[in-house]
Amino acid sequence: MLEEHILSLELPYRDPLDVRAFTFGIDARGKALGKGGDASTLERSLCVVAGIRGDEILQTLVCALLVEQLERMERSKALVPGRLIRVIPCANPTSMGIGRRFWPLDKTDINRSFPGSPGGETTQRIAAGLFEQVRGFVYGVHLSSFYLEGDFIPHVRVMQGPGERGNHGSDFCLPYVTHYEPGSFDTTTLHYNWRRCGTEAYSFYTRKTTVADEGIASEAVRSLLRFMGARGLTCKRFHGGSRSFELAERALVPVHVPVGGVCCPVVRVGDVVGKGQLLATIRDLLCGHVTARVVAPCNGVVFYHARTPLVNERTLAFQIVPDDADEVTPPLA
Amino acid sequence: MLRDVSVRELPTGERLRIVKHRFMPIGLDEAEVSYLPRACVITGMHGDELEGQYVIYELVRRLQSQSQNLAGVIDVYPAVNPMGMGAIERGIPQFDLDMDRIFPGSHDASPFEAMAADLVEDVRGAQVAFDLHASSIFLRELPQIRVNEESAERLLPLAQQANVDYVWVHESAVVLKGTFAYSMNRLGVPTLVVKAGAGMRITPEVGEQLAIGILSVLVQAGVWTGPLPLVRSPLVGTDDMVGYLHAEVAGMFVPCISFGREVRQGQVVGRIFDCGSATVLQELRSPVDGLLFTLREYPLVYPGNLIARVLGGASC
Repeated sequence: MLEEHILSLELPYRDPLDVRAFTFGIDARGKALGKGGDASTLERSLCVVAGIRGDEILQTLVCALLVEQLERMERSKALVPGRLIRVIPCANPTSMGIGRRFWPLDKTDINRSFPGSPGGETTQRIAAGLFEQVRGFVYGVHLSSFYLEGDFIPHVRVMQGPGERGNHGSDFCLPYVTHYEPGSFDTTTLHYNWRRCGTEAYSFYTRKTTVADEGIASEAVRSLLRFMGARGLTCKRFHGGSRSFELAERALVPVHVPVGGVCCPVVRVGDVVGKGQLLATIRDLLCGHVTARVVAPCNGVVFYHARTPLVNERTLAFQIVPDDADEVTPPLA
Repeated sequence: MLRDVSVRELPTGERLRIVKHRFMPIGLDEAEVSYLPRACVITGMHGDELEGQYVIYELVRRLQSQSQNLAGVIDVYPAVNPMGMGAIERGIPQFDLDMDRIFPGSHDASPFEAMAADLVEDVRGAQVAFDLHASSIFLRELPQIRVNEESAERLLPLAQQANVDYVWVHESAVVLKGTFAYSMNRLGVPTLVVKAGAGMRITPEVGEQLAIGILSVLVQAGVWTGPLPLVRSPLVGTDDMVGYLHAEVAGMFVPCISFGREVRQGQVVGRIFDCGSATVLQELRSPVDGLLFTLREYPLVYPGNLIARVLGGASC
């Protein structure tokens, strides 16, 4: 394993931003990186990035556990020779260190700054420096979080459009693979720019974001290992997981709350629900009266649930995968 | 006349409202004015940008005192991101995305995206619209209009009447397709994005200058008939005519020349200090001859932070 300091930026009255990467691989002579192995002879096969936002704690934990696992596998020669795997567990330690989601000074989102600019604003420089280190890989996985707070069924998102050249999302063996068309605000994400530059990119969504739950993190690590095994990066295949159902994201059925108040859910993500089934009650925050009942508009599975206990009128409280959703046939390379 | 444009209930029972003030010719009712030209002035998209507040104060003051000059309808939207304004936040509290990147909005996602869709629907059909912004809290800007090159042919004649110092015709970027102005221009409403002053501040002279500029454009649009002072002729520039100065170190920036003036190439604009050791870490010099139209307002800097922009180039 090579541990590298891949990006540094001076900060006022704090230690510099210091982004570390952990790189694994075994060359044709059987030597591991950091133990005489020659990285220049290896194919840049997989890059896994997390912690671009400072509150993506679980995503960073997933990478940390993955680093631990890959270190063991490299030692035991369980990695396929000739393949280089890079893991960046925390791309934004400056924000994570002080409990901020976005960049501390101007609140910009580094994941809205790609591909970045080496001579631009601070977060554009960080994005450019990071992108330089993660580009050119065959596969890229960004452990990300959604712009709305909430819990998900674990899934990977695959972007359609520019640079789409292949999809092996089902190799993660997560319950769902969703396909989405990028909006204009998606064009500055790592995922979009990876795809634009020829990397087969995936956004990986864990069940939660701001918690350090080793159980959920271990599930995600197993999923990443299944992907690596299926893509020929590890000497053995990893069993378990699900047969993924692939669907267009627009097929998800949104469930909005009709009034503001306290949202008291009675279902969780992953629950199978029937049309008309109660999903949540909305209570008046001050009087406690039930002011609305939120029911499932269709038969299906609860895919997303807003985490916030207080909801506004029209808050997106749930998304349902309808039973009759069409399965997308993945385009293959 | 105050009207709701979009209303959503908050959990506390409070209603989150985007409102507008409507000004109509004296003696006409709603049905009669529906045939007249209409102009829309929105502000408060970014909750920490307050310069637009004084612009609309100066504008509305004139509309009220000279209402006989109204030939059409003027809708003024004083705070399209009221939660952000109340919380002194650029964005919408509880929401990750910049409001000016979610247009034309959607009724399928969050309430805030739905409110953006309501706003678009309300402005649709106007003869002209203004989206008033200040700079962020970090920079001060000369009053300027920013025009996407895709819309330049249609917008430039209007922008040149708007009493600003500078019209910046910028390249089209995909990410800007989520802006209010992009959506409205696509829907056929010529929409001018005005940027002036600094975040969290009000600069009264900027307010007066832009209020006159808006009325000047409204005369062109047939909405206003009152007399106006002569408006200034702006410089018109493109991306390649702008020189940038960035901090290359972390520290405290202190300018050493005043804002909004001509500078020479190589002239010192300011310095970045390490105050504890009384050391000058970087001396920042203008990259070109030209007009210093943007200057750092907030002293603390990280490497990369924008310090100044200078409009240079032969055609200025």
